[in-house]
Amino acid sequence: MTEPIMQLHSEPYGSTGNIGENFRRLLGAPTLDPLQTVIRESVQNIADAAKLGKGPEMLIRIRTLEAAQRDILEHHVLAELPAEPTSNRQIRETLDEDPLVVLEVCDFGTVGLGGPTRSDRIPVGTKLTDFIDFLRNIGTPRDTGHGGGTYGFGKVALYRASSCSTLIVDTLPHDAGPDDRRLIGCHVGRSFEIPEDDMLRRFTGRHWWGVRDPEDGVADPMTGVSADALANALGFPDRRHRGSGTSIMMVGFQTEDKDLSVSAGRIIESLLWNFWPRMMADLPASRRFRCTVMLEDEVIPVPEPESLAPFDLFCKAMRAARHSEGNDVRHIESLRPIKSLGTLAVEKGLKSPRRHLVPTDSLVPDQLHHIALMRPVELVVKYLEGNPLPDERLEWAGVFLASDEDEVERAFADSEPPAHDDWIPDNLPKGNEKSYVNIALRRLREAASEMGLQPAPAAKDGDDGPPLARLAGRLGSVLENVGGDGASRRRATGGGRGSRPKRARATRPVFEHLEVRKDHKIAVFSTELTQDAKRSGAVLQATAAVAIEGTKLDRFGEGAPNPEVISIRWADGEEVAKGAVLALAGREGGLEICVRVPEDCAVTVEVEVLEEAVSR
Amino acid sequence: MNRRIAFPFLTLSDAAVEATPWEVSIDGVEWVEAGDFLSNWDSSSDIHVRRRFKVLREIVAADLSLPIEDLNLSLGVRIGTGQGRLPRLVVSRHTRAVDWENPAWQFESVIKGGMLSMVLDLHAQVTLASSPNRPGVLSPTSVGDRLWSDSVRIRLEGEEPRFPIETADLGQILGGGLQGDAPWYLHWSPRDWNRDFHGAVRLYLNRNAIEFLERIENEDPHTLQLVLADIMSQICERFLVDADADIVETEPGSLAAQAATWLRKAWPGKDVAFIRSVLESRPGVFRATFLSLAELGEA
Amino acid sequence: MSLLLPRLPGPACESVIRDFLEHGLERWRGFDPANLPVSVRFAATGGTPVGTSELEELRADLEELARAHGFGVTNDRNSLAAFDAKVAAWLAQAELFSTGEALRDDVWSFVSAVVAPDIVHWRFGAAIERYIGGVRNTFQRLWMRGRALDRGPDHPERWKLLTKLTEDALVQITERPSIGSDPVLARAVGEAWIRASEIHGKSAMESIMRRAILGIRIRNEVRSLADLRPDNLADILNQMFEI
Repeated sequence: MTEPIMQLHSEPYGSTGNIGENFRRLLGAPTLDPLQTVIRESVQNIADAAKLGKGPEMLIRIRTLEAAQRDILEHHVLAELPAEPTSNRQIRETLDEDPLVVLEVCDFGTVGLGGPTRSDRIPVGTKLTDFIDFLRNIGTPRDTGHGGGTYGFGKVALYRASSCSTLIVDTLPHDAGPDDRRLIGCHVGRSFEIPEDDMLRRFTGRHWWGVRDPEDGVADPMTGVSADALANALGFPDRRHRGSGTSIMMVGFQTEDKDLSVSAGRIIESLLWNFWPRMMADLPASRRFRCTVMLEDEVIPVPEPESLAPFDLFCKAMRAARHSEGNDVRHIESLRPIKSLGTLAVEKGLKSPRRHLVPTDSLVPDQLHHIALMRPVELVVKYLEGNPLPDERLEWAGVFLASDEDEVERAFADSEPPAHDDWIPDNLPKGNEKSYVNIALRRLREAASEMGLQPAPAAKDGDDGPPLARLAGRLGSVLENVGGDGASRRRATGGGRGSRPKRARATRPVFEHLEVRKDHKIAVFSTELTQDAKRSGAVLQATAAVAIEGTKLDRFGEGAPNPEVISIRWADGEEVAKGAVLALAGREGGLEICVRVPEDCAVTVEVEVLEEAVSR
Repeated sequence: MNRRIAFPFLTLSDAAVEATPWEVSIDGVEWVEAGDFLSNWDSSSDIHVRRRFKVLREIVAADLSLPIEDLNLSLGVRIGTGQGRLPRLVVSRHTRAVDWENPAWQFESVIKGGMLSMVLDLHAQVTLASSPNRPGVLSPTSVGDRLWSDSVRIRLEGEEPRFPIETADLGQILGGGLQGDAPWYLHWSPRDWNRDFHGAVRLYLNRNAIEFLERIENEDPHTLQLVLADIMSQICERFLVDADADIVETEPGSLAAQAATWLRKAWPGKDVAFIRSVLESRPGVFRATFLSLAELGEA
Repeated sequence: MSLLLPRLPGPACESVIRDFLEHGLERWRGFDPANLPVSVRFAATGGTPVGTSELEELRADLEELARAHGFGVTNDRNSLAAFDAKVAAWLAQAELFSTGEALRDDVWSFVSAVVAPDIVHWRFGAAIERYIGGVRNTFQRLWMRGRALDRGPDHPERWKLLTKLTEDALVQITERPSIGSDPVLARAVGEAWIRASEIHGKSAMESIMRRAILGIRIRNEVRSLADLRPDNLADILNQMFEI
């Protein structure tokens, strides 16, 4: 073997301390779904690196290192091991694993990790700091316009996926020549101390493998022909042939799946669940992700989201949101200040049979009832759960696409935690931006929870459309019901004590009791009369009718009994009017209406308040 | 009992009949209280219904002004189905004499799904089972006199009995022409004023009118007002054009009855001739009246 | 598993009929169960959509019943009444219309406008309400009659009410949902009508029937007529029919 050998540099503490503690803490924290986090984080980073006017091409691969590759890894890359005992043991054990499996995430057609390689030596005027952001700095603020990821804490997930918290990174920056390939190894372990010249020299626990600077011993990436030879020997994709981009190898792939094909399935599912909007076939090439997943040498096909339930339904909603054209597209707006916050599109459909990508613990719900939240970059931030449709044969999918206006986009972006997996208004200071996120989330939660509350659309053989039952109920309120009384006025003016109606009105009479007067059966009804501000109600006129089938009979046909209004009196007992008409003289209050009830029939009464006297 | 209606004899107060809410179940295992609608039903699902009634003898006697030993009552349940204001078909009828030794009745029945359509109508009543020997002046006296009743209507399918609405592609429904681009269309025909309103009228919202639908969905009061005013005025205008239009003699629940009700609301106390003259000489006022009448107020 | 019947929504039915009437009977291509109008729907669930052979059979049966009463030959009123009675009895027993599907207007729109518009045209001409679902629909009204006035399979003259009652009497019964929906009440009214017509004579019956129906509806509001003993109910109806 003539390949070069990489050198180890363990990072000492600077005189004012270093970041790194938080990072290690995160490394030890449990995550619900480590593999999904790896995929999310890596692909977000790839999306950010796709600045060359074309959609990134990515290869995610699980493979077993061949004997020669193991040999290169052990004797040429990780030839020197850290002095810290735990790190030393972890890496040793990983190198002894048999088989030794790695997970690689590689991208092509992207910018790669360019710029200076050391955070303490950044030439004046440098703008591009991708390399140091990814490998040296942790928690650096996002600087990609409308980008999806940051080179932030999220990358902890990558270290976690390695059984020895070790990554080998191979990158070819796009603005460099083919000889500028960079290869570097990194490991994060415990901080430690080594006695040196009567002092304890403290180390952060971060270690790099590369080429040591002759002056201060800091390891820079190996470059040029040496990097080329070593990277190719490790099995990384050939960069001379495939161009710029980055390949990250997680050494000693940690997975809970015994069968690696299940892990491959999970990777595909994670890709779809988190990135389906960018995998849609009708996306322009400049935005579309082209993903290949491989297990060893075999390509595992990644289904198109349009052809796999339930992503097909999401895609339909996505197209509706993008073009503001679909079965249920709503614009979410803030009123103060007036601002369009984004577009919500919801689609409903018959639940198509699922083709499961994994045997257990699928990310994909059985009956969809979710809104996918995303910024214009179209990476799914999270899914907002609503109510499932009561008919389990149906499901609905929603997409919320935040507005691409800078102020709004930034509000949503800034509300995201480092992993970009939520919108948290409390991450923002008080102000418009905070209220944009608040309003949008509130409206979306409302929309999501309303979905399942409507009656099952299966029961309605009509077309999809907005829920109409409530509207129908409201419009139905003006339909004739008992007594043939349109309820419109009553609703419009009814209720609120203290508020005067626009017109004098009386409530619909209610039956109170039956009594006998002079051998006649008399039914007493009550009503409540309210004057308008001008007290313009002059006369109350009551009409009695025979009741049939829950409503009144208007017909006074041959042989039909004829109920008669005998008298109307104020409830306080004063002023009895004989007959069906009572002069009001500006008064209002409770009234009693007495009606003679013929034998063998039921009666009902209607009242009208007239503004002028009637002569009958 | 319907509070708007007076009977020619004494009837029971609500205190006289203890009745639990109706409970329904699709499989007989999971019971829910009957509401406005029952989801997940289709004609292959039988519906189980149950309810417990108890009639309180002392209260009955007081309510009806009858001696306590002179009370013979029946409890009845009538099950109906079919779209419309009234059920289209009485599917079954169950009656039981009230036994004062044991005045409670646990009613339970299974209705074949295949028999049902659109609506399940459950009507319960207490009737007089025999004529009393010593009735009071206002006491019920005839067998079958209805003393207490209540009904629930459970929608099984569709929107009935609410205002019939659906969204549709108007271009498709109305064929070519400008009308296909209208935001809404009221489907009805003035050829038969006696048709049941619910069978005669249907409002179609244009599914292509996205912004309009959005406003409808948000129950924008002005949009609703305009739609409703259009519905009311086009029906009423046409109604007045028919020479034999009469706002007094109409078939209950019919299109004509609905039109007549709206006209009376719009011009209380006025006769057809007066209203017709408004339409003919001041059509603007006619429309404006309905625009105002159509105000629904807050939900 | 019940059979789901094709449904033709109101607006679509109107356009099918308009098309049929505009082009005339001669241009009607006949009923093709394999090629239903685009707007035909079935219930989403609850059974199996009816097959083409059942629909073909339905068409053949209706046509046979119509031909037996002069379809294509005569427009004699008497034979039309006999057709109505025959079809009403047939529909009431037809397996296809034994479920809740037959309570739907859009199902009958389909039968009249798609399966047999030529028979509707023979029976009623161009009156559109005879094609569209509803109480006036050519076949729906007959089905309702058959259902409401069936004396039961054990009765020696099971369908007699359909032939004895006049068209006016049948309409008065079936077009009032409070009576027509309730076979107990509908049958009792039909029987009372026959008793009354034997006393008053058929020609006097129209106005008597109108008063009786109104009286029955008014009384039914306060008395549960259908729950009375048959003899008790008959007594009350006799009063209503001025017997």
